[in-house]
Amino acid sequence: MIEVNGLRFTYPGNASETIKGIDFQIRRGEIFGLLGPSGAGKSTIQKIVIGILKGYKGSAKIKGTELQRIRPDFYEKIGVGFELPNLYAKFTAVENLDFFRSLYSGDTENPMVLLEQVGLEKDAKTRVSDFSKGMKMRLNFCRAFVNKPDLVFLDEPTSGLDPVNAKKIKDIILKKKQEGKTIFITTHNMTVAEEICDRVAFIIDGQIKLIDSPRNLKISRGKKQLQVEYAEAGGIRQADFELAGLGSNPAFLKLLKEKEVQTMHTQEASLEDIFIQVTGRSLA
Amino acid sequence: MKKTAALLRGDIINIRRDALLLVNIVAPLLLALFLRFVLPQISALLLSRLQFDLTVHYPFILSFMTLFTPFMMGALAGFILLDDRDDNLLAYFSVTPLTKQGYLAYRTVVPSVLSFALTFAVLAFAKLAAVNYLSLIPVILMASIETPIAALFLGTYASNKVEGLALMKAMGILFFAPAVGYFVKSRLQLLAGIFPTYWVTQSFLESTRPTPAYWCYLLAGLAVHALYFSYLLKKFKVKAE
Repeated sequence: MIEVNGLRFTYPGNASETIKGIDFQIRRGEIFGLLGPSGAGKSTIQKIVIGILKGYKGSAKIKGTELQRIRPDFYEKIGVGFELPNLYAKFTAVENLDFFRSLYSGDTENPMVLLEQVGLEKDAKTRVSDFSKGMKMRLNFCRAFVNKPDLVFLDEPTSGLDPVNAKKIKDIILKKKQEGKTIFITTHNMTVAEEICDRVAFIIDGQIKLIDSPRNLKISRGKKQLQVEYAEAGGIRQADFELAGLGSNPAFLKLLKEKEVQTMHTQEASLEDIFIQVTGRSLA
Repeated sequence: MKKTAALLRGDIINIRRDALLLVNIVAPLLLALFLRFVLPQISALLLSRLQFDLTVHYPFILSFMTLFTPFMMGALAGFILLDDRDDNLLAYFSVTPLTKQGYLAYRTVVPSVLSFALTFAVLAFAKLAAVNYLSLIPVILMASIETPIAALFLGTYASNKVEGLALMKAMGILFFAPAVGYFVKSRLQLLAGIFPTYWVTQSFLESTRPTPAYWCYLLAGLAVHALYFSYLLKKFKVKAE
């Protein structure tokens, strides 16, 4: 679906490259996450792959078309949700969706169906200027699907949302993946990436440092150990055991039999740990 | 075509819900009513009380009023442009089949066409003085280019609608240029030609019987308008990035 090879980009007037030669491929039906701190080049890559930043070196193709050469009808089947909601403040929610759907010549989604999915059906006739930030974010999110796109770009899709609404958004993204849509997410929220992305790429200083599935990363970069917390002599104690041969480890089996176990955790790394490990930076 | 209709529908919703925009639409209509019904009364009063014949200046008043509608339409388009820029919509249009170029084409061409039609309607309704409609076509066409010039000027140099309103008032200075052309009899009046409005009224006044002067004002004026338009379009594109 997306193929990027040897991509380089320098902003006019800048001495150094912002994107320093990156490669990645995104398959059809995949949820791909581009992770990185601000200033790493995330937005630049996103702008190139949605076709609004031209003048790059190397190759960036969507459905086989080089992005330098796309035509307006390319956007018929592309959906984009920017980080900052861009909506008509004086229009109601449904007027906004109706307006944007009339920019497409193909089949479009019924606005009420979209609004229901994000829990905004009761606010369909409210003007966006009276919306809270979270409501605008949700409307902005469902607008990305108004043209029934098969490739969707979402920038920080859950930012500014409470846990219930964030969950709704994540569920919709997973449902869209089941329908065969390809989804490209840009975020610095590691938890979201861990929960929904099939593969993630860590970007820092214009380069991709790591690219794999969250599960593989967590297992390969973590300690292969189990940490057990148990109660003893009125206090909490902790013991670590190697995962290899755990079932026949006498000390472990003895602890299970004799002590009151309170928590048990395998020590795979979190995406955040890996990020700090690999880049030497935190995400904040 | 479908996209133009969608944008037009959107503009109508926006205008209906914003008093500031509504004023810009109503103003040319009020002007037409003033020219037709009030001005002749004022004229009669001046003649009887002060023995001052205003009717000899009617062509100038009309030429001056020709600038008014494109200016109001320009302010209208400029305010919508500012709103759209503030709401971050330009970025979004660039990822739809409309594209940013399509949006800008709509935002500059459609208000010009409206200006053109409305200016003719106001002139025809006012019935103040005999005018040569045929030779006015290119003059009003030129005046209509002031609509996107004003819109792009506001869109480029105002950072919000309040500033836009202030800038619109400052642009009132453009209306002095025609007066210089009419009242200053020396060649120095050509200095007022740095303002596009000068060329509109000058060619308007020569339009009753197209003289060589008419053609000179017209061609020079069109060049001045084209320069302003292309410069501001370039500036706005940079600003909107």
